[in-house]
Amino acid sequence: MVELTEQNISEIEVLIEARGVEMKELSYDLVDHVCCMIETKMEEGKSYTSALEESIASFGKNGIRNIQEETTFLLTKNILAMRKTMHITGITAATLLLLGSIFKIQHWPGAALMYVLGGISLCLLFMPLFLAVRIKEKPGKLSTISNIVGMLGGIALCLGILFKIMHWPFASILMNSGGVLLILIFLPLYIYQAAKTRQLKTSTLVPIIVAVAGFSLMFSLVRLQSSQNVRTSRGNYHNNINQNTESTLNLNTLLISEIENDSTINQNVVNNINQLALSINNLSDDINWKFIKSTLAEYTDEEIKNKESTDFENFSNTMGMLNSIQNNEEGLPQLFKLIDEYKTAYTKITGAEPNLLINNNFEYYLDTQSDMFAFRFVLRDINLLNLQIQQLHTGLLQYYKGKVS
Amino acid sequence: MYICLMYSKELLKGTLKTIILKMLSESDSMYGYQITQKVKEITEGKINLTEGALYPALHKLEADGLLTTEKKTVGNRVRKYYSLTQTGNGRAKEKVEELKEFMETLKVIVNLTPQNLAWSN
Repeated sequence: MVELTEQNISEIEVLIEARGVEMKELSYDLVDHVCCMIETKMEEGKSYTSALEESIASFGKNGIRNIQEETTFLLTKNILAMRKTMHITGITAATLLLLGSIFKIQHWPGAALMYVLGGISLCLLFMPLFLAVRIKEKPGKLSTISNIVGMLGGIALCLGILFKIMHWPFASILMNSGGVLLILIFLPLYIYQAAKTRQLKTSTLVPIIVAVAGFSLMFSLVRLQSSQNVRTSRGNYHNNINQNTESTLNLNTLLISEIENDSTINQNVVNNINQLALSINNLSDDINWKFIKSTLAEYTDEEIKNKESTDFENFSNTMGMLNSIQNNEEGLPQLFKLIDEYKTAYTKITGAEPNLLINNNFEYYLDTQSDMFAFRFVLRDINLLNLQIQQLHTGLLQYYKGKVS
Repeated sequence: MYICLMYSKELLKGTLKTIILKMLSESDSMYGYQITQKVKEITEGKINLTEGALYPALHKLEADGLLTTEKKTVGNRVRKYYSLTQTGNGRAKEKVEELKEFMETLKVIVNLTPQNLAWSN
């Protein structure tokens, strides 16, 4: 009886694989089948080479590849409905997320709803369905484990991004655990499997490289912090405003003491406008504290001051709840009421309209419902507004002082 | 190129699974090439299962839990032996019975003559 050598067999294996058979189980069948065909022909007296040629030729041009296609088709026929659902949810999710991002950029209403619906259909419908289809298509313990790990990682990462956009809690934990699962567990498993089935070719390597490079870039983009210089200058700017306000307040106190005993001045009017300027200063402080405490409630004032001076960057990037300073008797509306009163009184005394620079961020702070904003912007805008009023007041007091002397 | 030689592939398409199940129920286990040769031999070459039809069907039957496989090293290579599971055994009998009945019914249709038609009227 003719028996093929190991060399013959590995040659046949290569030939079968080169014709597109990737399923290991099918490849065993076909290699054995071809070997049997060759052995039969050789027993009839043919040489190995011509027997091999004839056997391979008997499959027809794309015959061997078609066997695998037919097998995959038969095996996956009954999950066609599942695939269809998967495709529909996938397209819906992608469309919703795309529209959501456009709406978000344009500040149109409904962006958040689209994000949430899109994210949920992506993470909780599309991905699990995709996992189920993958498991059915490619059975096997190891590939099932790697599919499950990969899908869990993907779900965690996408949910994390969704949570981050929505400012929901646990976003960072979800994103990081998703990334760790994908890079440290799924990717090595994937490479190992590809290497084991000898598929470590360009078509496998490119996705791996893109995944690692893409994730690293995204990670650094998310984690990206401003350079040290920018951070220092932000801290300096913040301190500068505060110091400026403080010295202006001191100057004002001094000026008040110089004019308060003068009988040529209507002390009632001066007292009133002094009170207004001080109330504005106090209310600004109160609002700042309210905003800070809306997220840092568990810290004491002392600890917060400490954070502010030692780790300004982190402190100023913390998000506060805008609604804590909105529809409140002691919130932004009240501050603007006081400022208006001050302006009226100022105009009455000097005959000139005071010129205040009011950042249009305030419109957003006042109107947006249940949104969050970084301390950095809100505190800066309120402090700058207060500083302008106090400096305006210095001018007014100097006007009075000029009258006295 | 499907299951050819004497009969058209349409005729044999629906019976392929039954043929495989029947073949396997007649022996403990068989490998792919052996099944093709066996079918060829007992049908005197009238039915020739091609690889393109046989292996996808074997894998489908295995995925459905009707067959199991066992790998053995034969002649320096892995050979997969297919055998019926318990479910597969039951299904083989059902399928063969179904085919027999179908053949009987077909006979009636094939033997239909004007006389028969008149009689039935």
